[in-house]
Amino acid sequence: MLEVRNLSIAFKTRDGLRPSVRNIDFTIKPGEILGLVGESGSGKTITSLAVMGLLPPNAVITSGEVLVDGTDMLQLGPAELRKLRGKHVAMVFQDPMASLDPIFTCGDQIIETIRLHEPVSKAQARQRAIDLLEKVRIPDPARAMRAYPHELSGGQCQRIMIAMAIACKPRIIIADEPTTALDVTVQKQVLELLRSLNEEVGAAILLITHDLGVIYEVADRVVVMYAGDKMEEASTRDLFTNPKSDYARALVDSMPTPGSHHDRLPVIERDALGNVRGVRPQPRVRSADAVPAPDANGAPLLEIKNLTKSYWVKPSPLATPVEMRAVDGVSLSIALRSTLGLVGESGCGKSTLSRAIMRLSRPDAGEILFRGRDIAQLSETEMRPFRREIAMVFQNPYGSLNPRQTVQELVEAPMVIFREGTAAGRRKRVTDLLEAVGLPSAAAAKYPHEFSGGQRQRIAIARALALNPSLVICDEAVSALDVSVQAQVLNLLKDLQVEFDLTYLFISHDLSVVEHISDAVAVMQKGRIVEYGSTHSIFNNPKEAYTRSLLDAVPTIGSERAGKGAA
Amino acid sequence: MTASIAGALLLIGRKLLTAFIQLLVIATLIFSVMYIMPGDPVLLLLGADSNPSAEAVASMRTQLGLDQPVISQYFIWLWKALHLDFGVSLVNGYPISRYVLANLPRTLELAFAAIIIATLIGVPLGIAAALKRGSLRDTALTSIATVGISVPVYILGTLLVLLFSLKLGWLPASGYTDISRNVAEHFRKLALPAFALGFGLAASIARMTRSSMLEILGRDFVRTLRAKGMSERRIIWQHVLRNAAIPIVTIIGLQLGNLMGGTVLVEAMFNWPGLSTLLVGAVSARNYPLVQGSMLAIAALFILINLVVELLYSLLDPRIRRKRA
Repeated sequence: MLEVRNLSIAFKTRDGLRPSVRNIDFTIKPGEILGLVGESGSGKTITSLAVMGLLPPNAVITSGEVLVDGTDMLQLGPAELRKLRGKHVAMVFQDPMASLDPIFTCGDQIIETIRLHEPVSKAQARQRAIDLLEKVRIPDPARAMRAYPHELSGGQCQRIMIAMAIACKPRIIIADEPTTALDVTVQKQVLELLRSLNEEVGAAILLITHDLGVIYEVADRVVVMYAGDKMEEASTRDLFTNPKSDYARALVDSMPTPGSHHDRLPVIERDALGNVRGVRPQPRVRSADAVPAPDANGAPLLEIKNLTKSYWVKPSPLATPVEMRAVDGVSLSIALRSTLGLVGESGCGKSTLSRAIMRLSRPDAGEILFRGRDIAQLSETEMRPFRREIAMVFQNPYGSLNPRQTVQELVEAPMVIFREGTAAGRRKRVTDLLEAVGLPSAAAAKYPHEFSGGQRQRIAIARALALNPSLVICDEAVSALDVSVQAQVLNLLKDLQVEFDLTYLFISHDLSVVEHISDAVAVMQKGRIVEYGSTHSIFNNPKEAYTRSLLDAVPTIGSERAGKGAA
Repeated sequence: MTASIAGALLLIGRKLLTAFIQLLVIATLIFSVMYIMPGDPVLLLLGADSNPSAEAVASMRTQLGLDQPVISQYFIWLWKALHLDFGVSLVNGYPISRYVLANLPRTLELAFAAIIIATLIGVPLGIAAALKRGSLRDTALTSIATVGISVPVYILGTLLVLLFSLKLGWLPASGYTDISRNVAEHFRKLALPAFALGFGLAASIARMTRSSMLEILGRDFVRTLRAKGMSERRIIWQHVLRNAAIPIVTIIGLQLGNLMGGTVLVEAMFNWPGLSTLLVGAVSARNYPLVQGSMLAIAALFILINLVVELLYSLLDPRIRRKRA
């Protein structure tokens, strides 16, 4: 029913056409879920936009056909295309909140979709919208009808988007990273919803994602794309058990998966001939005498006791403010040179906790013992010597580097603030740091926009290390990166831990990443630590129901790979 | 539903209270300025040249309440002002409020006519420029807008008079005709001053509309609307423009200060008997109560228009409506 034949797309640039998708072929049969997987820049989104006829003005289709039930979408005029869009082929986008018009109620937006394609009265459309909201299992559909997008959670907004997509019973639904912006448990619900709607409505789904776990959970067949080329097309089972192309194998390998324990993750490399393969790098080693002796008393570097931080919020305009405990009596400790993973869903208080440890906010009660000294209530001046001991790496490598500063200025900024060293000495130090994070020294003179996301995160890490901190807080530091780049950065963090004697507080929503990197894990829910223990015990023998539900929600490809490992 | 109505009322109540406090501060400033200013209104009133007797001066002072301590003068004045009693004109003994009430609607009319003209010109031009971004049309419109912002009101006014009244003879050069006497003539005389006043604002609105439209057109939800199969025209008019309206209303609100300043020049130039004309006349005649009264009226008008703009905001943007309340 949807057949993409020999599709090539290029972008117009000053130097002529730059191809972005080359000779892609695939078909989706009715009722099938086809996964389209690839990393950023692989051309998967561009392909889907071409199917909808929604390519940006600077993109041109250089060859190929997109057949929807035999009609070539590429040959249709704007009016005919409009009739197909929404009615025949519907789309669900990545960021559900931004994909809805903020100033119309969700109900109105669904009603609008129905009335665009079907001549029904407003009242009829309203009734159908309510039915749709029930079908996508939104709690309290009547309220959701009246709500504006910002009044709903991300998961609920995505349900609205899905309700809108299935409103006119389309034959094909294109879902572009539909769960990337959502928490694992919400992701699981949305995927289950897509799967059941696929059975119920009978629409074929083209599921675009960078997340192999998502593919594994729901897709029947998979197309793997890399740099605009189709690398492989296989049934989901075959792809994970017996990937044929080198790239697909490397991609499957570079995912940290629960249950597999390796010191370093394989990374994807491209050799001189342009062939890709997975390589598992060796950990960097230090000579034995350079490794410091373990602390005699074994005192933890950081110990948090009963830490509490509240915000005052008004539940409704007229109500008196009520206390919202973002961090509620949290106690934790991190041993020197170890990694504590902190997991939890959005809004659980992870970031508030990390901000309190950084003393970017003053906690309401409790102690933060850093090398035995309580820093919870220190003044700005008293805090200053501790500032150089604790560094932070943020989630968004695009937003956390000032675009108008060179890498040299960015990385040396902490040293300048602490008036450390001479200009020449700082330059030397920046070169050393860049080398440590795997960037050439020539990078110092460049600006952040000249680097990829993974390279920018390396720059951010170099900056965090500038003052030789002992504790580095990584707040979702790899969440914005592609799987293979994520593997590189995780390997780097492990190498640096050995090289610079670092202690990590690693905050993430991604359990498989946390399992890979952490020695101990704390699970946070609604401001409290619900479970805390060694990584092994948390992942193999979770005591709390919440931990189990988190673990269950992780799309796992562990069983297949374990089978492969045994074979 | 009741909660949102209560929230809206609370919002309006809070804004009214803020407006009242602003007005009070301005009233105090106006009173102080008049008190500090050199020159004795009593001598002026009695005619300094006629060498009035000490008794005459004293009795006049008592009559005007100027013999009382400053603080009580202030509160008496404020109390009366609250009841729209600004005293009487020193020139002819007419109540100030009558002057103000007669002239205020004319300034208000001029200002609103200017805003309407500016919106009617600025918004369509901004849309036209945004839809053909980077084209010749866009460049031309953007350049005209830049010129429009930079041309001072008095030069534009002079050019308009030269062209439309002196050369073409289509519109009267200046003056005012009450609407009750001749409706057509009233609007013919309103046209040039309103256009002169609104042109700069039209240019600002056009630029803001253009950039706001471009920003909204790049948002994800526009792609959703296209994917739903909505026509481009409907996307623009129903969704993009409504979203883009929020910063446009902001710019109108911010430009009001300029607009009110502009009325001083425009009213003088076109002989439009509004508040500014009243104020300018009162200042040159040292008619202190009239100066105070008309200044307070102008300030009140400014605050009122700002209040309307802010409430309009909340109407346009549900996020502000619920957050601020």
